[in-house]
Amino acid sequence: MVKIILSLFRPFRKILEWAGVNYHQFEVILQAKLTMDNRKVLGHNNQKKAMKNALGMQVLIYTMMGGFMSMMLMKGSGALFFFTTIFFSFIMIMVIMGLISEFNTILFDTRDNSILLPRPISPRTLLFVRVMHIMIYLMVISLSLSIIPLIVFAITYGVAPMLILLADVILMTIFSVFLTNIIYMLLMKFTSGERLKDIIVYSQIVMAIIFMGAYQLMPRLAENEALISSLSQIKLWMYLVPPFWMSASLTPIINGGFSLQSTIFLMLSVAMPVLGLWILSSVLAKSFNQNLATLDEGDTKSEKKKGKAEKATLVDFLARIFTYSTDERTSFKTIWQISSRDRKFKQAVYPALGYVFVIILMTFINGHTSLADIVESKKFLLLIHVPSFILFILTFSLRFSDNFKASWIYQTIPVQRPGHIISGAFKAVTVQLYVPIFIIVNMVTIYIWGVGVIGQIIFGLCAALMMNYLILLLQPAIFPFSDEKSAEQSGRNATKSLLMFFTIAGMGGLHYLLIYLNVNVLYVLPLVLIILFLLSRKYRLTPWNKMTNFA
Amino acid sequence: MSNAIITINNLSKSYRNGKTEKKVLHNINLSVLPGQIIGYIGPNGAGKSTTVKILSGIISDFEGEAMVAGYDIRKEPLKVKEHIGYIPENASLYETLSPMEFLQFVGQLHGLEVSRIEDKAIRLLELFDLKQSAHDRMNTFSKGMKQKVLIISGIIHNPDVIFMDEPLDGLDANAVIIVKEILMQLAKEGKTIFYSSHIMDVVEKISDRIILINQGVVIADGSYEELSQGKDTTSLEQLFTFLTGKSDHSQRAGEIIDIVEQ
Repeated sequence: MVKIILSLFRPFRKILEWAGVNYHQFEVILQAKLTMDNRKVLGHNNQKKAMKNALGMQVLIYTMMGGFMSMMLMKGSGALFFFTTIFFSFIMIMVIMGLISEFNTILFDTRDNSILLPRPISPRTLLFVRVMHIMIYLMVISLSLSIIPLIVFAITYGVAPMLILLADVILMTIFSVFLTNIIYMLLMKFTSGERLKDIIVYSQIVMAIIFMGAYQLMPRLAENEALISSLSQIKLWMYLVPPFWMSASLTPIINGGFSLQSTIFLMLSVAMPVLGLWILSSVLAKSFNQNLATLDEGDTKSEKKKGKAEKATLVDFLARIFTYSTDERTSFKTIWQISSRDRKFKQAVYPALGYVFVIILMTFINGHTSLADIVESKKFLLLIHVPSFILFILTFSLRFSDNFKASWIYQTIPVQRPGHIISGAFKAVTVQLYVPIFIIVNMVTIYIWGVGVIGQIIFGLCAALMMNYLILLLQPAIFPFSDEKSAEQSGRNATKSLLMFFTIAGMGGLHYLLIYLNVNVLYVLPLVLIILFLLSRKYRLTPWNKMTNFA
Repeated sequence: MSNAIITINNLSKSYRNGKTEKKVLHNINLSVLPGQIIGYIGPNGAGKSTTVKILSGIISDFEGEAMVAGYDIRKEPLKVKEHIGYIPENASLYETLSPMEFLQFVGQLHGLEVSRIEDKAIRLLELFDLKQSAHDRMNTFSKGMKQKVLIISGIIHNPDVIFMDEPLDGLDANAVIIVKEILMQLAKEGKTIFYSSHIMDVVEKISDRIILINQGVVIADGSYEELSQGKDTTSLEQLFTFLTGKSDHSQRAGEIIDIVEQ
């Protein structure tokens, strides 16, 4: 497989050499990197197989998404320009998202600092290896997205337009990769070390939220006739938006009417990826190694953390309120600190905070209902139960960390009940991340539906916590931040998402049923509170023999 | 010195974080002759690793001048890298590769032929007691085994200058003796060794010149005999303590125990 991939680059040897790449070194490094990819996470819980399945699943999902988009392409040549623009935008978003969220570790692999930087390798060669390494994976994403649209295109318009579409998909992928890299390189030029890592994490979070929003918005756009007709004519700003370059040059090839405008768009679609290549190799590659080395340097963090003392008193106060024992309190405070600083944890959890707002916003936008209609509806159930999504994400993410080896500490401390540690940890992230969002969202609920809904809110909160304790008790008990992150990528995410969806929908459904049956939830609340108390107590009293040890 | 293989003039380096700047090297000047073994010592955070990383071309953002093997590291970094070997302090390797694959990889990047690398690698691995594991993936290796692979990867291309940053970390006693012997024999053949370490007895035994750096400034430079002249010290460790002004160890130890026992 590695050899096949390497052979795909050989026809481009001259271009790479023109860009200043030492092709022999390029091939040697790329070969080593691909070999390592093939061997990742071997020997740990069959994860290699699981990872392959996860990649296969991803390809399948992308192919299905492509199938969905191809239905738009079949809608007819009248709206071809609009739908190809959506298609190329989607490819661009997916590629940029992929690079930001999953493959940035390849670009910023700091192991290379001590292995590759002292070798006689030019910065251009090193940068191109990284970019091309990422490109291989991103091509898999964009080609799986395109496979059905390509078939549909071939059937509807013929083989030649299909080949042009394929070329455009490849160009779009290349351009997106260069665009993202150029942004990264510029960021690296103006920031350093820790700050860049923070920027990467926050941009990942923002991108994830944008993606979620776009995913919700796209089907609505496809139905919007006014938008379709307004975007069916060329406007000046379209010259600045990459997906239009491809669609505005592709559409006249199929529909006829190739003009000067189309020629300019065609030139942009071909020239911009080449220009990206040039900017990357000539302007930014030189400083790449230097900036990369700074990622490894220990930044002095003295400046950053002012005002810690005041924050600590708040954490102390909250810990005293929500915990029962010294062990639980210690865990609460420590996990609070770690979760507010650990980038990987933020990366896993923060997008969920954004998703909640996106889901709620989209549900309220949908249908153009008036405020009076909303007040009449039972949509407050949505506001009460959707934030539970955060709670489940927290539950699933709390066990993972890059520094999982540090969990040896739990095995060496003389704690009678390890349950106090895991309970304190869960309470810390719940109070820190779930409760504030729940309160903010439900202030809107109270604003729209009035104070009469407070009982429903309290019931919803208790029910969510109760369900979550139940899930925690059904899972193997694991110390916080004590499991290897890669385990999460083993294709179990789909199952978790389904479980989350059904639990939240189930809770909302039951809540709705109680309202439908005219049962006052405040009568049921004591029962929920008793169960919540018992479950949380059971969790807090988890004994050593129930703990899963990863240390 | 015109025939020096390493020349450093006014070398300074700062790390920046936001608006604050921390200077870790202050106007260092050095000149190293071919065949010398330099013991580069200093307390934690003194700037040893930073110096080594600058001279190995890992850090290129610095002030002052640095010449290695006749080339300016800022202007011709690739030329410098053709002549050096670098052995880092942490066993940083591509662990999913085998030692053989990793050495093939490194050798090829230095322009060696595949067959030649294979021949050299297997012989070197055998001498480091790693022949049995030559084709095993390194993610199961102990720290010492990984360090041996790193040492081989730093010398397999026969560099003129070898930069070592705590190279003996994790090695067993036999391997330490072998490495010390290698360094001394390489120096006899005219190779230059720039050896940064905390382990004073090894530095004392192998170095013909010791450079002591403290808070980014060179505070002592000479052979052990020269440096210890006129001072009441019997080992490099004592000399180090004396020169860095930290001679209150037993008092500190007492205070630490007091706190622990409180």
